Amino acid sequence: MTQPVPTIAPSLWRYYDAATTGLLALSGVAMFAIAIANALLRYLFDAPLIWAEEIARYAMVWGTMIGVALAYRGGMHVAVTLLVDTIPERVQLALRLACHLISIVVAILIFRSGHILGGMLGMLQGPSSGIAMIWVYSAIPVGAAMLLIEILRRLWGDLRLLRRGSPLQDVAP
Amino acid sequence: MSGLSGLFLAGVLLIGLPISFAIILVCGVSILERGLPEMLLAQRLFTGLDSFPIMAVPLFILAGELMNESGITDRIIRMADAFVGHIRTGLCQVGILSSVIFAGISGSAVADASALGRVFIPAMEKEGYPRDFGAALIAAASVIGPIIPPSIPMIVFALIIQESVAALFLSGVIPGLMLGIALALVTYFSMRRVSPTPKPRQNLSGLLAALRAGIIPMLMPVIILFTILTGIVTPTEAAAVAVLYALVVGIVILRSISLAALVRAFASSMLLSAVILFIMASANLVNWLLTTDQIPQRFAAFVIGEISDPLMFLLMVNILLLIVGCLIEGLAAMVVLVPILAPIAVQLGIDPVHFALVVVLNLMIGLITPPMGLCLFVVDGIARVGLPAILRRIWPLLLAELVVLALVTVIPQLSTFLPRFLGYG
Repeated sequence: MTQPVPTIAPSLWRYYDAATTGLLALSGVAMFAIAIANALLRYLFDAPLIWAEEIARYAMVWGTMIGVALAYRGGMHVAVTLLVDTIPERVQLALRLACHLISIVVAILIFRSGHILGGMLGMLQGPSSGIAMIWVYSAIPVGAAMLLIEILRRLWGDLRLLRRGSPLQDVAP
Repeated sequence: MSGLSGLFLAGVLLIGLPISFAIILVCGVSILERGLPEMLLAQRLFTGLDSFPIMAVPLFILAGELMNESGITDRIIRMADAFVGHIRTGLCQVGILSSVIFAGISGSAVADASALGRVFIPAMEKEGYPRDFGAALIAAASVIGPIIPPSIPMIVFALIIQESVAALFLSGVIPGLMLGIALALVTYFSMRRVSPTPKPRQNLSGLLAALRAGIIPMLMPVIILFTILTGIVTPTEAAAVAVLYALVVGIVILRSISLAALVRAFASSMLLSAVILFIMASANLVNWLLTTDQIPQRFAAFVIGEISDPLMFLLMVNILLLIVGCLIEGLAAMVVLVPILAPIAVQLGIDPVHFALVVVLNLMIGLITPPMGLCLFVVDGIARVGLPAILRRIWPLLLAELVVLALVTVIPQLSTFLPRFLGYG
């Protein structure tokens, strides 16, 4: 369900997409590696890593926030399609534009709130890892900013479709 | 939350805004309206994500994806074929049995439907079964996936009601097998005239060879359940062990996973997980708001005043969920409704394990009821016969699954026996 991607500096976007996908995969690798290492160390040597669970959790927070942005790119977020599927394509496009606009509000809400959270509690330290929480809380505003980028890209793509006014063949259902 | 914000929520959902976004929007507005600190939004989202038990979700999805990439689907099918392929309507039965085995590897119905659909729908057509029936059967059989452990919805449910994941995993074993048998019977009686002449039964050496090939995928659920039940690892670590096993199978034993496939599997499973985890995080937000308004408590008091019979309550829940499951994707429905319904169930003396199984089974059946039947879309994506054709074929199978749902609703032992027997719940 890939959406048309804006054509400005396409190669730049390719690098951006590859890099963000790589980061996403990396968060999965980190979660898996830490969880399995900890289980093995505890079971085989009775020497669990104290910081392990916490760092794995933080990797998941980062991975989720990045993934939320990238899932928007692919139109993968779960939505109710009951009504949208039954209406003409032009109206669908209009509703999709409305959704992009509302999503921008959502991204800004998350960004602001995450920014304030980082500012107020960022100086705390993770209870067992000692990591400064600003590194963890940052996932929320950074993820929201990445989400905003993806929303704007799709908004741009849909606006071009609207202007062209042609049958919307290249849009995924 | 006022009626106005409820109306607003319904509106933005209907125009197709992602469910998690809609929840965050409504809660964000509500936080601002009440003059609560703005950082609450991010903080509740963060606490919703910052949990080690939840990590079982991405790791189980990853394990399933890796097993898929390493090509174990063929092995599962070969083994199922050796055991039930000789029965009349053999290929259909092989599809159902493969689904049951596949259920022990992946925790998601959608994954099962797409992996098995690609193989079985064309193969069944070649043997003379109608193409729309093949699609309907694979969709119906995929419901078994999240009932037999491991199961993503069961993990999510266990997290919401603070019940042991192991107990919920075990509760699905018997009902999952019942679903398989129900589908097998319906298929046998409706398709036996269409079925080609059965092929001869496998001899012992053929069966052993098939078992040897099938042992790799079959070991996965055994390892998962064994490590959790013996207390060696937590469910999250068991999921990591499952990933390790899948990696060893794909890279060392079968050597079928390339580096590119590896990266793809990690990225795509994290992408899928992010969608699910974000819904859970947003549910954490809405549940916090509901709880500060004491809405679950007030709702519970109201319901208990009206309904005092546990069975009556379960029946009502089933009807409610069947309707909700038609409209909203199962996990999203679960994270919002379970925190409200579960306390009532407990007060009425319903075993939480029993309640969990009824809810999960019900919402998974929602995967094959229109219009939000995700599995229907998946199989139609493969079969390309159109939803109406599939729906005409699926209703007897759907009916069979509803009978199983009714049985497990009325007879709690079907779900609670195994966990109790093994010392849980």
